[in-house]
Parts: sequence; C-alpha cells; structure tokens
Amino acid sequence: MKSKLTGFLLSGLILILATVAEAQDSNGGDKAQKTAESAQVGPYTVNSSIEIGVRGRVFDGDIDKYRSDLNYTSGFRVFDTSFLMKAAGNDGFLFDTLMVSSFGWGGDPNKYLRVNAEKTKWYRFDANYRRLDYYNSLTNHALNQHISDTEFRQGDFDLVVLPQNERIKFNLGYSLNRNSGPTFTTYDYARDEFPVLAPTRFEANEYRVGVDARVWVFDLSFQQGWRFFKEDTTYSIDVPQVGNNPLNTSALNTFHRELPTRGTTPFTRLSAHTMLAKKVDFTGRFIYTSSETEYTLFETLTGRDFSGNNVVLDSFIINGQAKRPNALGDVGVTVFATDKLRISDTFRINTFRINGGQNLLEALLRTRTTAAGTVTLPPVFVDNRSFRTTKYRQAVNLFEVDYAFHPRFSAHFGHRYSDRRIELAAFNPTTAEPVPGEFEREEFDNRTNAYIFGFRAKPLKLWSVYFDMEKGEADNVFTRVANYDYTNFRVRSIFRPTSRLSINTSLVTRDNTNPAMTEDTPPREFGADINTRIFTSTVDWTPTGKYSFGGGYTYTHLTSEAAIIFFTAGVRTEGFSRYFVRDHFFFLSTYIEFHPRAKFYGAYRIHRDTGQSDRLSEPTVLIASYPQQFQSPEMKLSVRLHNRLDWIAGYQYFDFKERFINLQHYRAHLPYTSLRFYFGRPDGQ
Amino acid sequence: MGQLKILKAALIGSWILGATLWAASSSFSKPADTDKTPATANYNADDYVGTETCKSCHEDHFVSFAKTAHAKLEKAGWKAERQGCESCHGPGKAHVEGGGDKSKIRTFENESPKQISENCLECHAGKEEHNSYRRGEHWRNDVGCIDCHSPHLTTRDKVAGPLTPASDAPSSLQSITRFPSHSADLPPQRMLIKPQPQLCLTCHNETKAQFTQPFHHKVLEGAMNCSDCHNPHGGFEQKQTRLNTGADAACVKCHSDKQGPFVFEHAPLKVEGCTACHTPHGANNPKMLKRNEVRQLCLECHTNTSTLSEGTPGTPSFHNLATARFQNCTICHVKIHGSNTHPFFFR
Repeated sequence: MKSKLTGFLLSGLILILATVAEAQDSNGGDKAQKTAESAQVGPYTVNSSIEIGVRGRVFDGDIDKYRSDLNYTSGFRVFDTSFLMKAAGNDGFLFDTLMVSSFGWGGDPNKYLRVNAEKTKWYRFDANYRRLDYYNSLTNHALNQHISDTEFRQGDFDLVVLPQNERIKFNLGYSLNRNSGPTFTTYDYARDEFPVLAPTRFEANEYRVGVDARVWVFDLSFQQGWRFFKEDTTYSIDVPQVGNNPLNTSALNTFHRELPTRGTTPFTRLSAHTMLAKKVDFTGRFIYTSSETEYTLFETLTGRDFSGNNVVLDSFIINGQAKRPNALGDVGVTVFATDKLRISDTFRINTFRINGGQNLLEALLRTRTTAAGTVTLPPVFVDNRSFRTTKYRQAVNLFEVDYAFHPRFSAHFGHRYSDRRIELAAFNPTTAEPVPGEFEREEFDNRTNAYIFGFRAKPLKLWSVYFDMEKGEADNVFTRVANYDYTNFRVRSIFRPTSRLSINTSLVTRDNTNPAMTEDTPPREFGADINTRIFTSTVDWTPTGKYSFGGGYTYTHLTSEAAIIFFTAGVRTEGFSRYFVRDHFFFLSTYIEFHPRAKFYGAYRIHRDTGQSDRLSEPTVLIASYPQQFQSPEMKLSVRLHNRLDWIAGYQYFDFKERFINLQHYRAHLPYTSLRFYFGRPDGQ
Repeated sequence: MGQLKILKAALIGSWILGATLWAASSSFSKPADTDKTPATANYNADDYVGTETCKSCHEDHFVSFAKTAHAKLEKAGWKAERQGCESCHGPGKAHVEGGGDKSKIRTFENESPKQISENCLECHAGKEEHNSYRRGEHWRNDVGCIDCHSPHLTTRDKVAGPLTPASDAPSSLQSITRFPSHSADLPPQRMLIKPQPQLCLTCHNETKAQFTQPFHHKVLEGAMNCSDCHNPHGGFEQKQTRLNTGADAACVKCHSDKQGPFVFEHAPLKVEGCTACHTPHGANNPKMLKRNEVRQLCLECHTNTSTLSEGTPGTPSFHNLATARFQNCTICHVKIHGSNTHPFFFR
C-alpha cells in the first residue's frame, strides 16, 4: 500500500516537473522537429541521457513463482543511462570515443553497465558488467526445498592494444563471475532428507593475454589464460530437524559442513588462418587446458540415525583432487574450386581425461537409549579412498560440398563421421561397496555417420527459401547405450514483397529415435523417441518511419516417449515415460508516432501450452507436461516535452496460470513513469 | 585398429577427391579473383582521388561514414588505398573523370553477399573470430557482412525495412520486436544495423517464443546478447556456439560452479553437454529443464541397466517412485552436476 502511494505521488511530481519543463520550452511545438545541440567539451561532442522514474507493482497470486519468473519490484529506478563522448577528428587526449550505457540500476532484477573506450591507433577497451538477481522457489521443483535468492555478478573487460595495426595486436582480458546469497538445499542423511541453509558463495576470476599477428601469409592468434575458481559455501542446520521422510526416525540436531574448494584452469589457445591464392582457406586451432580442483570437507553432525541410535558425533574429513587435461585440435580446409564450387573438410580431435581421487575419514560416536539406560556403542572409524577416471577421445570429420547452380539457387551436401572412445574406471581400495578393493574398468566405442543436404533458393528477387536436412546418428552412449538415429529438417522462407514488409516463416522438425534393446533374454526394444515440430510465422511491416506493426505465431509440438524401468514399493515396473509440449505463442506489437512529440508502443504476447491434454498417468505410464498460460500486454507512451526532456509512461501486465499440479498463479500490474533528460541529443532523435 | 584404418581411408579419400576437383576445376574455370571489380583489381596509386573528393558529391554518405570506425583508419596510419571510400569501392579517378559514371567504380550492385563479404575480409580476416566465416552457416546461406553490419553507419535496414531511429521507439522490458530493449540513444556496437538481439531475431524468429517463456536467459531484456554464446561468423562448434576457458562449453563462463572437474562427475556434463538436460534459450520448466518432472528427465537415462558396462546406473529397488520424495531425484542427489565428496552426488 505504501509503495502504491509512493508511486502515485512520484508520478504526480514527475508530471508536474514535466509540465514546468514544457512551459519553459518557449520555442513552441515546431522545435520538436529540431535536434538539441550536442554539448561540446574541448574536442569532444557529448551526447548523453538519463531516464529516472518510478515503477509500481500491484500483485496478487503466488509471489514465489512471480519472483522466480520475473522479480520486478516497485520503487525508484535509474531505468536507463547513456553517455557518448566523441572527438570528431579522432584527436582526443586519452580517448577518441567513450561510450557508457547502463540499464536497470536501482532495484531491477537485470542490471548491466557497458563501457567502450577507444583511442584510435593505440587501444580499444570494452567492458560489460552485469548483476542478475536469481530467485528460485517453486513448488514444482525439489518439493520447494531448494530455494535460492542469490545475485550473479559477471563482468568482461577486454583491452586491445594497437587495434588498427595490420601486423600485430595485443589482447588483455579479465572476466569475473560471482554468485552469492542465501540458499536452502537438502542433505540426504540416513535415508532421509533434511533442509539445510547453504549461503552460496563462489567466484571465478579469469585473466587472459594474447596476440593477433600477421606473419607471412598467416593470421596467427595466441591466447594464454588462467581461471581461478573459489567456492566457500557453507552448510548448516541450526534447529533440530526430523527430515522429510515420515517413515524414518532419523533426525539431525546439529549439522555443519565447510567445503572450501579451489580450482584452476590454465588454458592455451593457438589458431592460424590463411587464404592461399584466393583458392584455399585454411584454419587451424589447438586448445589445451588443464583444469584442477582441490578441496577439503569438514562435516560434523549430531542427531539420531534410522535405527534409533543417538548420534553423539558423526564427523567427516574428506580431501581430494580432480584433474582434467583436455586437448582439442581443429583443422578446416575449404577449397574454392571454382566460383561456383566449394569443397570443405573439417577435422576435429578432442581428448580429455578426468582423474579424481578422494580420501574419506569418518568418526562415528553413538549411544543407544533403552529402558535399561543409555549404552555407548562401539565407535566406528572409516578410512577409505575412491578414485575415478574418465578417458575420452573423439575424432570427427565433416566433409561438405557447396555448389551454386545459379545465382538464385545453390545446394550443399555433406557427411559427418565420428569415432568416439570412452573409458571409465573406478577404484575403491577400502570401501565396503560395491566390493572392497574392486577395480572396475569399462570401455565404450561408438561410431556415427550423418548426411547433410540443403539448398538455398531465391524463386523471386524478394523471396528466399532456405532448406537444411540432416539424417544420421548422434553420440549417445551414456543415455541409451546406442546411438541416436535422428532426422532434422529446417525450412525457412523470408519474403519481402517490399523493402518495408517482411514475412518470415519457418518450420523445424527433429525426430530422434533410439533403437536400444534390453539386456533381457530375449531382448526387447527399449528405445526412446522424441519428435519436435516448431512452426513460426512472423510479419513485420513498417509503412513509414512513423508506424510499425509486427506480429507472429509459433507452435511448438514436442512428444517424447521413452521406455523406462522404475520401482514402486520395491516392485520392478517396466513402463513408459511420456512428455508433451503443445505450446502456442502469439505476439503483436505496434509503434505509432501520432504526433512529432508523442510516440506510442504497444505489444501483447501470450504462451498457451495445452500440454498432455486429457491424457493421464497410469501405473506403468508416467505422463507429464506443464500446461500453462503466460500472457503479457504492454504499452508505453513517450512524449517529448522539451528538446532535453521526454516524459515516459508505461504499463506492463503479467498473468501466469498453470492448469494443474501446483496452481502457482499470479497477476502483476507494473505501471511506471519516468523522465528522460538529454544532455546533448544525438542527431535525428 | 580396423576403425582407425577406416577413418584414415575416409580422410585420405576426402583429401584426394578435394585435390582432384580443385586441380581439375582450375583448368576450365576462371580464378575467383578475376572478377573485374575495381577494388580487387590492381591499380596505381595515382588512380586514387581521396575521400575528400568523394565528399564533394556524396556528402550524406561522408557524414555518416565519418562517424564509423572505418573513418579512423587514416589516423591509424593506413595507406590511402586501404582507408576511406576507395578502400572498398576502388579507385575513383575514372569515376570522377567520367562525371560520376557508375560503371567506373565498384558500386556493389548486383554482387552477391559472398562477393561483398570477400571485400570485407580483405581487412577483417585477421581475427580468430572471423577465421571460420567461409565455412559458417551464414556464409553458406548468403548472409553477408553487410546484412548485419553497416559500413557507412546508416540506418538502412536491408533485412526488414528501414530502422526507426532507436530512441524514437519507447523501449520494452522484454522487447520482442524490432526496437531495442534499452539504451536506445547510442548506435549499435560493431556497426551493426540493429542492436542485438533484434538483428538476430529478424531471421531466427522461432527463438522469440523460447525467450519469452517463464524461464529464459535474459536476452530480450538486454542483459545478454546472442553473440555471448554464439559466434555469428562461424566456428568449429555445432550451432556456432563459443567455447569458454579454453575448451569448455560457453555455459560455464557464467555458471562457473558447474565447470569442474569433479572427482565424481556426472558424465553428461563434459561428454554430452548441458543441453542433454537443459533448453538453453528458455523453457516453461524450472531451471530450463527439458522435462517438468525431474524423475522423468532422470529416468529416461537411468533406467536400462545397473552397471557401468551396460550403460548408466539404473535406479535401485528402494526408490519408490510412487512417493514424492523419490519423484524429486535432486532432493537427495543435490550435486547433480558433479560432486567432489560423494559418488551419488549427495553433497
């Protein structure tokens, strides 16, 4: 209520300010046709603006679902800023161009800041910094026990020294990635799950140095980077918990875990490119990384186990290390045999190995309370080690031919061959499961072939049709033992009867079939079939610069059926898993400049997924979908009150309804109003 | 061993076929560079008249061109024939002396996108970003450089009509149409004819529906760009996705806690990739998962057998799928991407 009142008052205040500004514009309405003069600061021309205002929110429904989806709140906002400082003669002292833009600061869930600076000949600097709120609390995911309210902070900072030099350029870069905030998760202890407070805290810092050089006929690039990862999330239970499982007597009175984890990833990247005699395009790339993770876990807990014993102290110390050296090489050669024929071959070899090992020490002190009193049970000490190795090697060759039969018709075909080998090994020297000291080693080999065909046609000068088809096998060792057989089609039509009207239609189909068989005798088919159809059609019409209309429709049809085995009350059940998406998406938008000073934008978008329709699960058939409706009308009015001031008012409405399961409905009205101040307005605006 | 031989044979065969076609074709076809376009032919330095001369007739182009990165090359010390109007359009002396005769200068009219792009690559081929352009999907489908970039920085929108000056259109929270989401005052970066993602959505219109789902990457909001994950100029990866930190998927650039390596790593993480379980553009399912119910997603892999040699581990018999606890697999298997301390991802 308070926020509504504040919003109303601020809207009024802004309107008054805007009216005053309008009154001060003594040049009348014809001034609106002109552009404000850019500010001049020394050799620089400055154009900048800032849009500040207030957003209100009237809401009803499931706030957690709303926050998980959108998370817009009410209050003051710096909606948007832009700043451009440019030396017309490229003769600035420290920079010739400085451009800064930002959005969403002051409370919106998505915020970014971009900075670009350049001094011709000497350097170019690009920075991109984002802060994204991440909220997740949903009844249809992990029984709403995995809740996050964290913030991502991400940034990329890149400096190119000598950007216009034709021979050599130097690159320096830094990227940061941070995530922190309160989180709830669960911990499985003694066959029960306990809600755990786990304030997330991890970060990664990446540093890069590199050079691009022209040596003889080659364009060479070298990059050396280092990424450092650090996680210090802690896990704790402060009040006694009985867990989720009502049939289980276990409980946790105290629980605390620290798991400081450190990772490093040095990486080296080399690439070379040349075009020989305008006939042969050669590109090669080699990447080597060697990631490493080290960690130590300290965990203590007290409570009761599922046998009813009192756990006086169960403590764990686990430390370990994992390494993943990875070498990736790519070579691509394209031969322009004639001006119509292109032949291309691309070869990749990718190998990596993951070696992980840990040492676990556990000390378990228990007592048992009986009618006769409390008895101390023998302590349990565990000292075991586990090792895992994954070795992976894949070679892929892609051969393609393109031929232009006519300037308006070209076609291509290709063949992709892959050979993959995976070796898994597990060694548990002292553990009781699966077998003490057992060394397990398995190998997977698979080869795939896929065929590619497509064409591009221009039946009319204003009409282009693109067709692609791919049929073959895809790697799928881990999911269904055998390769996937797949057939993908994509056809896209772009029709532009005039330069101001565009009609774009596309159809994408994907059919994935897995022909796996069971290990039973006799074996039976045990496959998975996934069929997807996506049809889209959009129209974009801009009759004049003052009017624009757009609209479109997308239908997504997905049916998945997989044979599965699961257990119900200990009984092995063979059945099927079926999943359905039947999503209809429609949008409409318009832009109207109904007065030189006043512009209007309106849009409407709606998703309606009918999901599984009236299909219901059976004991052996799990049917799932997420039938829901999500709609959002939006409108926005922008009025130029003065050459240096715009008044903006807008409204957006979000309405989410899910058909069944958890009934996480919400409706959110988001009105907002703002003033945009210009300090030097760019030409033509 | 036999498979390796097949692979070698296939490779050698491909190369021989390619070399044969190349050699054969060169004897009956004209070389690709014999297009008698002014910019590609050899000329004397005297044939160049300089940008100032062009300005006298083409002032409107000059004004917009002067704002571009291309106009800075003179200051950067580039040779006269490598910067300014004539770097692309070729020497203008004959054109000027012919009283503006269009046939005596390269106008790019009636040239294919590939031909025009070759002109751009004369200077822009030196970056790794552009190395695979001639093998990329855009090149193949005749989407040339100037379909996305404007060398003159004009508001011409070749893809779908003229672009309204950016700030004239009030921005949107989730802009699904031609107008940019935010920061409308400034010209698009990299001399793009439209800011991302509007530019990409012009053709890839099916992704609009995905990016407006309840759970999506914040692309329409302007917080991310398509080019953060995809390289529009082509690449060795399928869907022209980028790699991060050397050879890892683009996803772990931001989701760095999923990068690993882990002692007990969920195999799809590095082998199959994030898209084995997630829909990267957007979905109506939480966490952008491919299935609404987690059990369904998991069971579709963890079902067949129970040992390493026969595929992924199956579910044990005490997993009573009739109860909500076991229907939500990640309640226990919380570290589903990989764990350093538990083989079943419990912590």
